[in-house]
Amino acid sequence: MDSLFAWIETTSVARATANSLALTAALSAIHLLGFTLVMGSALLANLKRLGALLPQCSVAAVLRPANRAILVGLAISVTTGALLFAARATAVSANGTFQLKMLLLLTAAAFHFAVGRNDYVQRPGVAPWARAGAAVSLSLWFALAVTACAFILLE
Amino acid sequence: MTLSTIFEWLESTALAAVIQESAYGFPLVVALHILGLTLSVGTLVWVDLRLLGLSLRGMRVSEVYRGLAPWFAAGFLMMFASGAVLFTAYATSAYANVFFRIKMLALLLAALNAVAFHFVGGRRSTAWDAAPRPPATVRIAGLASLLLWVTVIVAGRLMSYTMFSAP
Repeated sequence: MDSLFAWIETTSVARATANSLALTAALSAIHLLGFTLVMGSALLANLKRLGALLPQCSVAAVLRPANRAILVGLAISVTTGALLFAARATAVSANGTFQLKMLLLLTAAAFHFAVGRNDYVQRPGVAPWARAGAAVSLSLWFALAVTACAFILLE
Repeated sequence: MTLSTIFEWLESTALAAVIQESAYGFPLVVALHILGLTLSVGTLVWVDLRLLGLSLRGMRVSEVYRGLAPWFAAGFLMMFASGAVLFTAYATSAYANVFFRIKMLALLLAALNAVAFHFVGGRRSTAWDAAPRPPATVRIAGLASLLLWVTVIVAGRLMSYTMFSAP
């Protein structure tokens, strides 16, 4: 594993990122833009599932675009995040906060899309289990945001 | 009284000292700033996408706006309060930073855009409230909001890379 991370750091993209503060700053700005889209869309989707938003429209009408936007946001953040990671792969992979961030990212995304799927069925009321699922999903996304802040600020 | 004396006074306040000197003061306030940002801009994006006629087209504009307003208002409050606290601690170096100036300009334009939309464009909203694709002026307001907030976020992020690291 260690030799893999060491090798990643020697690749040309990793070196280009590591050697340029401007590139690092630009990547992290795009990383945050992607994450803003993820969080806003996760909020929209889960508040709708909780029954706290837009009572006039169906769950599916909100979930479909919101979940699509979460995927777009994740694609942006994961791509830029991978490049930022490559530049400092050895140090970052050993960081406990980073490991927690990755664990929360996988858990939040997997849980959100696993419990969200059943909601595509168009129905007027929201079942109690769907509300519980939405609350857990929202908590996981929020925990990811807090951990991401801790990673960047307390390193 | 010049700007620089005001900035120096701000930096000498007890509030500024907490941010400058305590181990967790700064990261905690920055974290609130970022969380406030994802909450506010993350939800406002959906109002902008609706104004642009790109998403949530089956819903009324007023419905989307009213539904999300408490969330982006709470996020903006968080972001502005934490931003003001951060500014007191680093007023002089922030003011001198080009990205801070770009950010403030974009913020001002975003606010003007919102006010103009609310008081000028919003008046006749009944005509297009339910329209899947609102008129051009409305779509321009939505696009302007989206681009200005992207500018605020990017400039804000670049600020942190240029303000604190050694030249």
